[in-house]
Amino acid sequence: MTAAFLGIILLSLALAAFSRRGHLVQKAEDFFVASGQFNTVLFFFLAVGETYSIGSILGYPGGVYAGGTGAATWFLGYILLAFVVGYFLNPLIWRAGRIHGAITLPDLFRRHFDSRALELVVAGAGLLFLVPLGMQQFLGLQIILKELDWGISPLILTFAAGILAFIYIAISGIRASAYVAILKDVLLILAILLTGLVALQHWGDGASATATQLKLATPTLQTDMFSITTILLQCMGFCLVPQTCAYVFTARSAKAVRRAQITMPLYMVMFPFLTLVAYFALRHPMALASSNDVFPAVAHALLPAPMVGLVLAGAALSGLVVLTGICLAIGPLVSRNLVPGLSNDQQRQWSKLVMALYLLLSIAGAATSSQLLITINNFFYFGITQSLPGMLGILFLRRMRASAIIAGIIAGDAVAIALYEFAVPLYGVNPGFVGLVVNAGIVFAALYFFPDRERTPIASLSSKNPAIRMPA
Amino acid sequence: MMSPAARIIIGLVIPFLSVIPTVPLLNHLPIAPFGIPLGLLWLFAAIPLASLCLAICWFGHDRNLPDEEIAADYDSGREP
Repeated sequence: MTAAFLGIILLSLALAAFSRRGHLVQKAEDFFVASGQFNTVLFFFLAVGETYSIGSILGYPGGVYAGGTGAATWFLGYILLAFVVGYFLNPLIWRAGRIHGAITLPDLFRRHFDSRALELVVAGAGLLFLVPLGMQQFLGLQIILKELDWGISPLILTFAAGILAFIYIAISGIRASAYVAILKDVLLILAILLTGLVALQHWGDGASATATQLKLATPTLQTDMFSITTILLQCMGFCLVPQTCAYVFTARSAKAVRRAQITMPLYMVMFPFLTLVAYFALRHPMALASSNDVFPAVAHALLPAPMVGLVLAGAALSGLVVLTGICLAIGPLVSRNLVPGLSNDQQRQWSKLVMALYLLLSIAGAATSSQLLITINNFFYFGITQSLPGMLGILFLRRMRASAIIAGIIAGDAVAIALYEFAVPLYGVNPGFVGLVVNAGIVFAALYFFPDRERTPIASLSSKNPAIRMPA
Repeated sequence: MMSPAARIIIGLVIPFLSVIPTVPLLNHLPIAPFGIPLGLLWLFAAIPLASLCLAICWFGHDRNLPDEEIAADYDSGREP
């Protein structure tokens, strides 16, 4: 098991080194967004790699195991519709990124609205809500590494994982992330299909039907409201995740983005198998430290040791690849958007320092927290989605005011966090959704009563505009 | 070529309606083949349906649009 696991980790390092070929000297834009040169295949693996983080592989079956199929409804529903929304919005975000020379989401806002204050607010909100996401990956990595049974303290193991993530980034930035993502995705699909199919094979062995019936609680109006508002909030917020935007900016063309979006839903084929794994654990009660342990525990119970090593390596790589993506999003948020006036080279150097600090902070956070992985996912989207009205302004509207977007983001974040922290009864409505409604109310009221000067929205630019050239 | 309205209905409206409110409504039915609620099974079927809808939009409309080539200036407006 250990040999198989370490073999895959070594292979991933070799792939990261291979990705550097032809790009020994990297400028900031090459390090963070591959200078917008990725074809459909590389963009696809980067983007889906982000979707299937360690939060999905551990958090989804853990959520179904702990909370029944209510969690499955909103989790699958939002990812599926996010790909649909992405098919329509991401090519426009790509176009906006190219026209404005953007590496990060705040770059877009600053250039389109010519507002440094807006850039700072979008960057600050991004940083605030990205912090728990890194913690989520390390919490997942702790669970995976514990299964290897090496007898080493979890803190040392997660620290080693943090160093590994940093090595990938240091080798060639986003290029290493994309190449390792290919290995990770192939492994992950095999791991999930294998565990799911073997679980199916052993479905009837020693099953306890009562355990299954316990978790099939009848849905209520409240759980329906939560599912619907969470799906709506998160499927729209997915396009605004800082690392998703960075991945869109890596694409070579709008068509490359669109082609990849068509096949992305098919990649969700692994979720029925993850559901099988969760149901298997419910039918065959087993000792679990927490519901997040469901996937590795079932793999351990059913598969031979070398196979378990491959499954754990796939899961660990999913955490590491997503960590590199978050780091590559956070680095320029600080070195490009928060700290003004750094040269191209300095942006890259400062970013590496920020990423190292972020990894350390996330390791410390993971060591002191044991939240259900799937709830971290909800909190992340409370804040990230608040940039939506501003993004609609960039893409489709002419007279949106930067100060109104700032007020909307701050109000939306404050309302969402306050409702969540004080557990205000909302009859199941997602607090982030309420925040978004308040936010949109402010922005669109200002648009109606105090319109700003006219700016051409990105969707209205046509081939007649000199900013866009069509290849012959 | 497919009309822009048809593109939105096929690519956006149909996938959305296949999930909201269909899945929560189906979850209320006391039908659970193999112990899995009908709503969840329907959601699994909605996965290839979404890809199919996007593929129809691509082949019927978007593939025929000219591709864009935009040179980005990543250092513009930034000092030094």
